Amino acid sequence: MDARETIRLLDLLADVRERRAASEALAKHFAATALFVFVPDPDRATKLIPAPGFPTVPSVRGWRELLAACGRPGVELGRVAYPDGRSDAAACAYAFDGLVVVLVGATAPDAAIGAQLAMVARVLAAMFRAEAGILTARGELEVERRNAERIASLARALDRARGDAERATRVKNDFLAMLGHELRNPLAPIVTALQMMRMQGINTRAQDVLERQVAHVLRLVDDLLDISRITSGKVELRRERVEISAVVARALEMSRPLLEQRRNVLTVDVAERGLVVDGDPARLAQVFSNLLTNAAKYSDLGTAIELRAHRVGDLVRVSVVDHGIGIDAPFIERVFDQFVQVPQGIDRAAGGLGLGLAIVKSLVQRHHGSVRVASDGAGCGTTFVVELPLCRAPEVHEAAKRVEAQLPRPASSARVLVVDDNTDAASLLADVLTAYGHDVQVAHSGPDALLGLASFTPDAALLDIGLPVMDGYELARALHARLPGLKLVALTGYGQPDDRARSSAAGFDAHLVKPVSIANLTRTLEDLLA
Amino acid sequence: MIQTVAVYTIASDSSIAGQELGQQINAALGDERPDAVVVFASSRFDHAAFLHALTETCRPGVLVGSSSAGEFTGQSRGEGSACALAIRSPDMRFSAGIGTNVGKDRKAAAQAVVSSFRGLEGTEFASRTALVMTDALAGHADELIEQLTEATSGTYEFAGGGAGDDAKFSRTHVFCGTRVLSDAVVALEILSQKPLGIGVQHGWSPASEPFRVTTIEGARILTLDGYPAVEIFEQHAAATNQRLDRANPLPFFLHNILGIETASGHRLRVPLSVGDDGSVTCAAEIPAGANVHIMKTSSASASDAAASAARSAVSALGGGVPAAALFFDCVATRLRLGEVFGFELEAVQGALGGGDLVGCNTYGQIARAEGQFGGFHNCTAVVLAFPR
Repeated sequence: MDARETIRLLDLLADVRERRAASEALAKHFAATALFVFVPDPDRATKLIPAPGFPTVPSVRGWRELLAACGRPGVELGRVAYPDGRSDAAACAYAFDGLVVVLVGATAPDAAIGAQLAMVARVLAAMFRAEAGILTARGELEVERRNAERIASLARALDRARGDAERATRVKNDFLAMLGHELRNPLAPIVTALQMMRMQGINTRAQDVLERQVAHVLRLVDDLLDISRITSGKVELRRERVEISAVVARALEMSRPLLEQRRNVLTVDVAERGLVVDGDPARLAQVFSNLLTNAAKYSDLGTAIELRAHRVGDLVRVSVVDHGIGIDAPFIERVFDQFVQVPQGIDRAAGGLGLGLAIVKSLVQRHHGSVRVASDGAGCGTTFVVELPLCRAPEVHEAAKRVEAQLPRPASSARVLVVDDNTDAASLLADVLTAYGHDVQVAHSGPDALLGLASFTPDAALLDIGLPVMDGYELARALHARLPGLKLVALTGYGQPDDRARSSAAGFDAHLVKPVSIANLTRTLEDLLA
Repeated sequence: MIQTVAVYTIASDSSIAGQELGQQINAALGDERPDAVVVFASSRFDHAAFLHALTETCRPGVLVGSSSAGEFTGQSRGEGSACALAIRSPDMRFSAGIGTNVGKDRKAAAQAVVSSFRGLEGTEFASRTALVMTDALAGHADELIEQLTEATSGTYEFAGGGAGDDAKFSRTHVFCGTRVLSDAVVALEILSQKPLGIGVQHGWSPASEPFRVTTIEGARILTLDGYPAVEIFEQHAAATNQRLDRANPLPFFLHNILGIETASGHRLRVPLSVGDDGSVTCAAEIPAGANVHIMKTSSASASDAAASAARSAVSALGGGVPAAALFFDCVATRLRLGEVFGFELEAVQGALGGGDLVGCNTYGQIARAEGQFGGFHNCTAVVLAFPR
């Protein structure tokens, strides 16, 4: 047997594509019928499996026993199934560390073959072991690759869904802002008319009903505008260090009408000093007012509501506890979602749009705080807990100032131009200003207002922004060009910082958001004309 | 408040069977029409006539279902029969979708199904579930569930199974309204505020050492550990005093399936046939190089698994009480257990703690919960519970 030919043929085994042909040539070279090569399973060293690229056996018969005997280096003889499952053939197995070579058709060990195989056994074992490992790893990698593809495609689908949702949210927010604005405009003259009736000493039950209902609609409109502003990040917080007691006092003032109407027994346990937070007092008051209002709405008449605040580590924890209808487990996770309400009866006695708690959550988060809800289920009451970062600095500006409810002093007489395309709003405003002693002229468009200057030189002008033909900004510039000393007041449904900046840039001296109270209007005029 | 009705018939005439089910539903719901009906019917029925009679009689809002390989309710069970679950709920929204050419294009089929879903946009409903029945003989059910997962951006949970045909493995059908389709998938979209519960469990454990899948072509295993695959099964049969007849291997395979080793346990594959070359073809693909075990089960462990699936489904209701449940189990389980399958149903009914139970034996089961990709199972019990 030519050793160099043996080495040449063994060398061919290195190429997996040549392996079958090389094994046939080797078998022939060793005067055998066939040659099989086995290596340990990558996970279980005691189990031998066909080396990569070599033929598999036709049947388990005889082979298992023969391979089982090859647990350590040496030579084993046996009879194995070959060439098919029905026939047998003699076989001689040469076992090395990590490699077994079986020559089918060999009836006795051949020392020369053993020696020649031994020369390359270590190298072949290392190579086949590595290949077997690679094949196994390739299978696992294929599974991982498929998983990665699935994850990537699902991630793309999620991105698409998120993009669609964001677009839908933007459209919804724009719609809500527009809706709020469009509702405010017709409400403005209604509010003014009601205030005028009070001024004229008209006090009827019907008027009381109107005022309450208009106030309710205004709150709903405010909620609509708030949620669209908050979710689109347009709310600007006016932060200051404020005692939580001042915030709570303001919230109680805001929610007092409903609490009194529902005759709830309110327990407030809040230290007057020592619980300071860095926040917008008005917005924080809105948070606790919403929670108190919520508690009252979803509790029976006359039931108890508790509001408590105390310090927990570096936090101020405020809890609002009611003993009302509670919340079923499936709704607990969703109570802070927009437009989600605990199911009500067909009468929808609690009313509302399902925005109050969404506003609470957004505002609390904007203050770097958290809010959570707990309820043992229907009929078991509800607890809302707000936690806000505690400020350690002692310096506090009192935030709670009593809301001025009195009508302002009448201003000194002035000449006031009112420009609004809503004729009801314009004429009611004129009536109010006239009642306060002003000399008023009304126009319903920019060109009419400018034409009117020929016969009426105003000291101040109240301009609606959304005017036809020429808008309020353009009219303001035109008026200023003719009357440089004219005081200009913008009256608009838009009250964002951007809107205020734009009116200021157009030359307005003041910016009032509809519906404006008579007190605020007359005070503004008085300040401007002083 | 949900109202459910479980109905069952053994009427031999297809139209009469449909009428009977419809009349039972009407009797239970009074003047109200069901919002949705899920129906399973033996392949011996003329399905078109059956569905026509059923829908004419009870006029459901939507109807989906499939042919099956054993039908049951909490009270009755059998083969060659039909059963249905009728649901009426003002708090739920139902819609049905159909996808065709499953064998050719799973992505298109999944997208066609999902195009009928109403809950993909908006957040009106917190819980989104779909009952999915597919023609498993069309193949690629695993990929179909993946495509459905992708088409719904992973926001739906799925439960259901592969349509059966009384264990003939010849031709299976899915139903939508009065339509009877092959090579198709149907889905019932269920939108609700309260979550539905899905439970999935198999009762199989390894009965052999692990074998390396050394040669495989798709679902056809040529060699295990380098030996012809069938001989590995034969050696296992001999070692466990069982008999494997190559010409009729199903009786053996009903009791001896393969479990692929995975990080999260064993994924089951049912062997179906033996090739002349000693290969064994399974119901679904197996990765090359995988380690597999021959798995065993018993009537007790099958019952335990089904009851465990039912308990998981109830637990997933988040404290809710089940009003009804759909139960899908492998046809092999029924064939293997025979009369003892009744005990499994009792175990499920017991774990549900009352409520209506309806289900069928399927060719593969579907259960995809949140956070999962794969949702097609073999030899596994799946329970879909509806909250009260």
